[in-house]
Amino acid sequence: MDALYGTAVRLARSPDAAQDLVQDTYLKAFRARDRFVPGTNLKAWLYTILHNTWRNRRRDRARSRVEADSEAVDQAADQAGDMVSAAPDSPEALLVNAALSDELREALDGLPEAFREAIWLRDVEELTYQEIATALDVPIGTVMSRLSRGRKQLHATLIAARAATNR
Amino acid sequence: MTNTNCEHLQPLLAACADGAASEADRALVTTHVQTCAACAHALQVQQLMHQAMARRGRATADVAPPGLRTRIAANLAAERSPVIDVGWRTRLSAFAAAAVVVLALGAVALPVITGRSTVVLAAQLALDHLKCFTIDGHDHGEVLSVAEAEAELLNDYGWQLSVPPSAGADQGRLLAVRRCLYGDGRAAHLLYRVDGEPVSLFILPGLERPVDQLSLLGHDEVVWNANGRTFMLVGNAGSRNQLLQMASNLRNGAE
Repeated sequence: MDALYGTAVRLARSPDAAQDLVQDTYLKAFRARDRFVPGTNLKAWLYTILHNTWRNRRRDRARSRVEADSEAVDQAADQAGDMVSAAPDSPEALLVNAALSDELREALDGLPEAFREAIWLRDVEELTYQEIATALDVPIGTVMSRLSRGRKQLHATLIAARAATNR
Repeated sequence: MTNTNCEHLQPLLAACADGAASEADRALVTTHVQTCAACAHALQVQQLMHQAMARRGRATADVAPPGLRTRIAANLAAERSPVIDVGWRTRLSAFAAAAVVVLALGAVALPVITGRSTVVLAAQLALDHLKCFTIDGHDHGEVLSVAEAEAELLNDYGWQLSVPPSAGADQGRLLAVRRCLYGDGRAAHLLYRVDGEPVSLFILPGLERPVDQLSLLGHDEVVWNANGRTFMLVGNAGSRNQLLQMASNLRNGAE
């Protein structure tokens, strides 16, 4: 449950909202239990329900949709990313590795939602690309694109934050 | 990173960085980055961030507050209702999912309440019945003998336990033996097929529950105790008479 709650916090960015989200997810999973296919990934199934629940809530509240694939996001990531080198033992890699958990969390929370979800489900929860595509209801190519752009922007944000700290 | 080839490869870099790319895609990217410094850099960024998140992302995660599990368990308990109008295979799949959903909550609320309520204990064992049959209840026509079952309990779980002897055709065919955890400890779980239908016998040492008959979660259950142990038979809804006959056979056979 901690994993699901952790994902919910990443999505909702509020502990109270995350608790509501996880409660609703388990309730919906229980009601939809006949749709679970034994032998498939239960975690991925729960994430799919979590994501759909979150998406419906956002829709209900008529919040503006995050434009995950905007050119501005790409350009910002490109510009920041091109300024530095990423060799494994480069100062840049050292900066990333030296980043504190709080800094990593802040950088992650600062990403557009679509990027944040993709990175979390792939890198932390270790879902397959297909499972993420199902959970987010997008093509696999979109998952790859979001991961690529998200990691690039996360990297740029983290480097900028560490550089500012060390200045 | 402006030519078409570079743009086309960008999404593949993510998959190469976290090991999800196919051999063909990895070869394509490897060849390309040897002559493209921009993409080589982009690949390193992908690898660096994938490794950082894989290694340290979990540390940034929040832990679910203890009260959340209890609230969810209470919500699910309120949702429970029998499912009758479907075949046992569908019901098995559905409740197996429910079992996994409930068990995924972790052993927080159930250990507290199973000690107090036969109903809740019966509910937990009904879920174990479904879970274990999903995992280990496939009928390949083979039958486990009493001696084999006792040896398996001893060798695999360190349990020296007398498996009730067979007492006629109503006993069914013993398919497998497992150990299940419940609120107060461990239970031996014997999986039978009776007329093709799944039936479980749980033996709970050190626990004496009163004789009882229950119907819940789409299952019938029969409870009795002997020699400081509780025995619980679990079968599909509508199988109560069959379970009572089995219980009678088992009790007579044990005497």
